[in-house]
Amino acid sequence: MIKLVLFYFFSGLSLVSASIVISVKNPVFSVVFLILVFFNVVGLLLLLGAEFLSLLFLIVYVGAIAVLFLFVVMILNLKFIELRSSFFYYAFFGSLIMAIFLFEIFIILNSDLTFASSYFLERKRIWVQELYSYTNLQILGNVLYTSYSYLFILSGFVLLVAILGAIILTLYQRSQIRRQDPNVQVVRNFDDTIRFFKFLK
Amino acid sequence: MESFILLFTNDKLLIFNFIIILLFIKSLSYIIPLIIAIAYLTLIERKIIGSIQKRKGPNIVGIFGLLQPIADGLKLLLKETSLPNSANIFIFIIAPILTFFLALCAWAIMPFNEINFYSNLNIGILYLLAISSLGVYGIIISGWASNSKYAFLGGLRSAAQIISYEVSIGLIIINVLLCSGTLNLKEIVLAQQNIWYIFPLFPLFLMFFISSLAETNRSPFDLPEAEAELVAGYNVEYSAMGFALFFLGEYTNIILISAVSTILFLAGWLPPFDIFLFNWIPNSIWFGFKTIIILVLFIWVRAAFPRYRYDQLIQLGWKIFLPLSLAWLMLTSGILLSYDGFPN
Amino acid sequence: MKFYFVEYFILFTYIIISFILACIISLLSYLLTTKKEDPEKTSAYECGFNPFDDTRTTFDVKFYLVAILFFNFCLEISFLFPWSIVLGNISYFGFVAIILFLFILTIGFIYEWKKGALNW
Repeated sequence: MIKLVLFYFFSGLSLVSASIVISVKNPVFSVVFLILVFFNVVGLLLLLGAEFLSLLFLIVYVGAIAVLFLFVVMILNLKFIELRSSFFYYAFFGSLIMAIFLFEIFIILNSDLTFASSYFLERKRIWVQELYSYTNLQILGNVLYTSYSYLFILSGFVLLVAILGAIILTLYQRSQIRRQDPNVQVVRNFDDTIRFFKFLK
Repeated sequence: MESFILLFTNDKLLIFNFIIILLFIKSLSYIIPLIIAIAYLTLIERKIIGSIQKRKGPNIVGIFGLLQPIADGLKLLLKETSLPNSANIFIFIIAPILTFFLALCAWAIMPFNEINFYSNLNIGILYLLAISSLGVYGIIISGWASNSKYAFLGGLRSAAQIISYEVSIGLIIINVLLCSGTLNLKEIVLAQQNIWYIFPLFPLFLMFFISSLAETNRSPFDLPEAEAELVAGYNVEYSAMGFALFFLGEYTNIILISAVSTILFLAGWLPPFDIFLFNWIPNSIWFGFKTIIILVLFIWVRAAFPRYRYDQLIQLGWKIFLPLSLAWLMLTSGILLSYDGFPN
Repeated sequence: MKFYFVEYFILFTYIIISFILACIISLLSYLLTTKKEDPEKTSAYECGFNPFDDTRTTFDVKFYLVAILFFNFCLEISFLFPWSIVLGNISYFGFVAIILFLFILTIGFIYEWKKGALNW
């Protein structure tokens, strides 16, 4: 009962704020409402019982990605975007992409996930596990670093590419900056720095 | 609690309502002492800094100045709130509320002793990290909404600073998790019955302390509100209660992070030795005592050290703390693996 | 599972109560005080003179770079959380996997250091 009420609360609020995200004019406002969408999705995930994933979602999406979005919006200094001029252009491609996504979801729903469920749920969930009641985290950890270690290391490469790309895209060195080098400061000693001269009278 | 109510009534809706009311009272019994603690933390801070600088500190209002924080709070409540005409009013008002609200939220999972906690999450540490990473928003948003140059710069600086030190804090916490084998705050404390983690992980405790100074914008790293250059940083445009909420949020975070470091490294409510005299003192008093020690350290650091430069701050976070805590992670896990010292 | 849900429901009540409390405190200051608007009072603060222009101009891209780098390391740390709990079970295989993972990311970190992305 409470679960149902909370489900409608979170999903309704997320739909409303998602529609505000695309309709509001000021981009900073739309980022703020995007954060609200993330919050509600976290609530939905908690209702599903995925506590680790939900809090991870909060840390990664709200704590890191949305900060990036906010920075981008602030960097670009967008004031009021002209929505009307390119509305039909975006509407066409948007509806195309939406149709593709809906089709994919339809395919997934139709094929009732036999492979994944046989691998994850049925084979792994035996009565011993019910007895010891593993947490989300332990189940994930036991699988992620052993059965899926290839994919795990591959995700490391994806992160490496992300670091390299970010540096190449954003790095620039300003020329006239005087930097402090602690090593030079420490190595410098009295005898090298100050020299005494004797002047002839 | 439920069985107690079942003695009187069998109506389910009534029981539900009753539990909600009890939860309301219980949460207020967490929040109100917290606010009083913040008020007196400011007094302790002024007194300690005063005595370090050979002054008396506040001593006029009440005996030893004990009523000073209450007078300050009332003054802030009765001041006029001015809304800058160039600001985005909605976000401008939301930002301090958000900061204070998030600072309060994190206290919901804090275990004060073995039975006294509001909610015992399985993954308490992650919840704390999530809330602290949300804390950036109050600052960025307030800096942006004020539409003032100082506030904007202060907000940006603060965001970059908090973000940089969260990396090293996360890595240090993972070290503790390796030793304790759980993310539940209560179980982390109970895992320290044999030895407090401050002894085997002392360098990490130092790094955690310094990172928490940076995370809460405290003194050697208080660049977001560097008075000499940025006037007051992100809260320059706020007056009265808006400012007070930022202030309260900041000090709540300071108490929070010292409570967290008490739990992670100083064994929470556990007495130092398992003997009668120490066990006789209530556990929650031990918890408070250890927290206060770290709070006094925070204040002492503020009185003793000059402010960092911003480039030094970023380099300390990324070039020293990050590699060091990563290396220590490998060391801890290697030792635990080779000597089979895992808790479960 | 049901047990967790109770804990999160309790947490949810606490969150709502603290949000309401924060709103009330903020609202009080608007109700209790007298307001006297004044152009000098409501203009943005700028050391003694009127602000020249809108403040929301561009800023240094370094802040953005720090945010992106944080994002990468945040993901790395979130991969370490389940590992730190189950390392006792998965033993050396999991240890080697995480060593490889961290090695790859350390390459990125060294690159970023040598390129001077961490110099402010």
